[in-house]
Amino acid sequence: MKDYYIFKSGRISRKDNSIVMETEDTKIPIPVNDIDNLYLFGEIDLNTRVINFFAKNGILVHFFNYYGWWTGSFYPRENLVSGEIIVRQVEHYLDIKKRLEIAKEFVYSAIDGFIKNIKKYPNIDDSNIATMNNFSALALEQDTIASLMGIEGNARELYYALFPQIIKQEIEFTKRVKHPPDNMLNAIISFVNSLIYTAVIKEIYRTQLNPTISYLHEPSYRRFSLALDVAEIFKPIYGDRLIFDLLNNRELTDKHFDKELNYCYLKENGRKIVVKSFDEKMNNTIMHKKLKRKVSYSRIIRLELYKIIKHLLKEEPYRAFKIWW
Amino acid sequence: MYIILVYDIYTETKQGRSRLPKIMKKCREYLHHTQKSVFEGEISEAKLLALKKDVENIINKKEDYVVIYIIENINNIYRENIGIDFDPTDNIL
Repeated sequence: MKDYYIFKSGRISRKDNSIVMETEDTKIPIPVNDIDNLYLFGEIDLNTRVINFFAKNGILVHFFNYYGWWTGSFYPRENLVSGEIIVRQVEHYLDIKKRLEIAKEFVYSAIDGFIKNIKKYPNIDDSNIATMNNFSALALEQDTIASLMGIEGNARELYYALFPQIIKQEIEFTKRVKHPPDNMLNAIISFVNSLIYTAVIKEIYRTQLNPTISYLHEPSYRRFSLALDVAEIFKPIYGDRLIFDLLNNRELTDKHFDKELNYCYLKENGRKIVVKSFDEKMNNTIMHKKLKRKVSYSRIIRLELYKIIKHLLKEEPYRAFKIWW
Repeated sequence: MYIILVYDIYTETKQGRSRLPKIMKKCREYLHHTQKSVFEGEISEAKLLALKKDVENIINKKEDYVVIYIIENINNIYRENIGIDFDPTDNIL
């Protein structure tokens, strides 16, 4: 089972109980049993026949617009439902104490990711690590969600301020800007974050968790907010490390960005490079300490969700993922 | 696991010629079409079992045969092309 990233334009349809991608000049059959997720970047026609077929096979489809922004996902009817989990999820949301307990873990783990990342680069001043450690200690003391978010924001601001020291290319980057990003680095961060976000959605679909009930972000916060919560953990260690590698190895340079639009989005060839290394990364395996077997990066996201379920069912307190390699 | 599936269908008879597209379509549900009667791709053990059963139902055991090369460890295969650089299993289209 693989994720398929489609940049070509054309039509995807159901044919012979499988999927075929028709472009102007070719027909590419895609084995339906091999598809895990579809990422559509090109201009693609779909009909209900194929969407019903996707639903039947549990295939999630993620749509991206012309500029590479995530526009939405096709999330098939849930086949794993559990009333009990939903009740527990809501219970942990309504009780502020219980909610904070989970939300703090997300923030703590995110800041831990920042620290591990900056530690990899010796040219960064140690005082920054001390400040980061301060932030993570502070995060544990907060008693409202808003102040917890504030600490996370401060830590993130400091973290992004260190990016110019990490990235060896000449890049103009002062602060994180979204909607739209104003330079190369912001553009690539936005793009990679949306890939991570979809990777989390995909794993949530494979568990009984309800993607709309979240703890750190407000559940009314657009999108599938539980995926936003969990993505916080993985953004620094999956996303940012990928970005550093791509830029420092000069695999991505300014020619992959659209100059006319103030570098605010990646061109197709640039997106392909990012997607390819992202896909490779998600299929990478590492030895899991507790399970004593090899697990892929994407499986780690699933394990993280299982830990949340265990916490909700009061089997084991939730300790968020911290990178150990 | 990674498999390469090759089939040879007896097409001298009318029934044989009608089996040919059937088996191709069935294989396309699971694997990537590399060449006319050659398929390859990553597949799970359970899906391989299902594929084998489907193939058995299509072929005529007296006239046709299907060979499946199974590579347990994907790291033990290296794909090399001569001529057009073509990888049907590519997931970035």
